[in-house]
Formats: sequence, C-alpha cells, structure tokens
Amino acid sequence: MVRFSTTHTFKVLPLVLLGIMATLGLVIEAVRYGTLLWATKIPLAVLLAVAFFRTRREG
Amino acid sequence: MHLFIETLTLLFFLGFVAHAVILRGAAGAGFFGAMLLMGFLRENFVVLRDILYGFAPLHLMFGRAPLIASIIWGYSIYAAMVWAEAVSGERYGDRRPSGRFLALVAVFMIALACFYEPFLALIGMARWQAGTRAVLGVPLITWIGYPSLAVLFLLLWSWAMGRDSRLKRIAALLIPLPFLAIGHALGLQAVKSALDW
Repeated sequence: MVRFSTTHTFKVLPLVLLGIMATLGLVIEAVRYGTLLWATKIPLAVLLAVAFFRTRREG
Repeated sequence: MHLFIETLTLLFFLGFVAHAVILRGAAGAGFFGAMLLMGFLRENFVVLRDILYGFAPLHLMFGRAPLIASIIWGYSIYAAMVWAEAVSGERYGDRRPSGRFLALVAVFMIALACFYEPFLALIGMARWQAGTRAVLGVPLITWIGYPSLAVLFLLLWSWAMGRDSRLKRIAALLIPLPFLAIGHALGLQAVKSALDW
C-alpha cells in the first residue's frame, strides 16, 4: 500500500513545488501561447515520479 | 506574464530557503547564500561580457542581470540535491558526495534544462546567441552547462565545509566561488564556440 508520511513529504517539498511550477508552465503555454511543449517536460516528470515512489515506504 | 513568473519563482525560491534552514539550520542558509552569490556573479558577468545568452528587460533586477537568473541556480541545484538524496538515500553534507550522487544530480539538472529553456524562449525571457544549436528548443550546450555548474558547486561546498574551523570554511568557499562562477561562464562559451553549438 502506498503511504506518504508528513516527514517525508516535507523532505521532498522542493520537488512538489517544482512539479507545481512545471504544471503551471504547461497551463501558461496552452492558455497564453496556444501551444504545449509537453515533450520537453517528460524527463522532469519521470524523475519526479521516481523520487516519490522511491520515498513512499519510508517513515 | 514576466512579472508573474518572476514573482512566483522568487516565492518558491524563498520556500526552498526556508526548507533548507528548517532541515539543515545555519548550513542551509549558508548553502543558499553561496549559491545566490555564485548566481549573481555568473549572470552579471554573462550580461556584462555579452556571452552565451541575453535577457529581456525584466521587472526584478539584481545588479545588471534579472533577479530570476541569479536565484534560478540555487533553486535548481537545491532541487537536484533533494532529488538525488531522495533517490539514492545518501545525505549530502560536509563530506564529498559519491560519484553516483553527483551523476544523479547531473541527470536532474539536464531534465531541468529541458523544462526551462524552451519555456523561457517561448515567453521571451531569455534568448541564446543566434545560431545556437538546439533540439526541441533545448540548446545542446545546456546539457553540459547545467550539470557541470551543479556538480562543481556541490564538490566545492562539501570540500569547504570539511575544513576544521569556521574561518577556514568561509575562506575555502568564498575564495574559489567567484572563479567558479566566472570560469564556468567563460568555459561554457569556449566549449560552445569550439563545438560550434
């Protein structure tokens, strides 16, 4: 079962903020510029996902 | 739009600083202070020497360069360090990080380059020199520039913090730091020119 603890969520808080920023980037691209540079965000999305799944069992 | 992104990045940056101070105490504040100084020196040098890239006129400036350019290095390096710690389980501090840890940091910095560069070009905040070679809007030289500065800074910090007195730690950090900041910009321009990237 996937379980997130407050401690570990806090430890990776900068990554959460970075994920929010990347998501906002996608929204700005789509709404303001009518385009999506989604392919260039795949590496970051994959790496952030790896971090969350690697830390999920700790704490 | 530019002001919104500048303000948001500054707020997130301050959140990162608070995170570092809560988890690492004074060392966290010093870590960010050093990265801010490095970013300030590097980006102002880039502007003054007109190398690598240029910036649009932005609202928040720090010297001759946009504030966002100075803080983005600390923001990015800290995020890469947190990610590498989360993935490797290795705690970064005053001991030299492992090669695996540094490789993870480098990979994350390249992923950040892929995120930042096309976006900054799209919204017109930064422009690389004309003729700069890129793939999907990501200049090839950033695949060297982003990871190399992060790895070199982390090595410098851990080496400096390993000194046995406070004065030695400060000197070991602050004396090489300007050389790292300016040398990195000059070195990157030299590599870019040599490879015709």
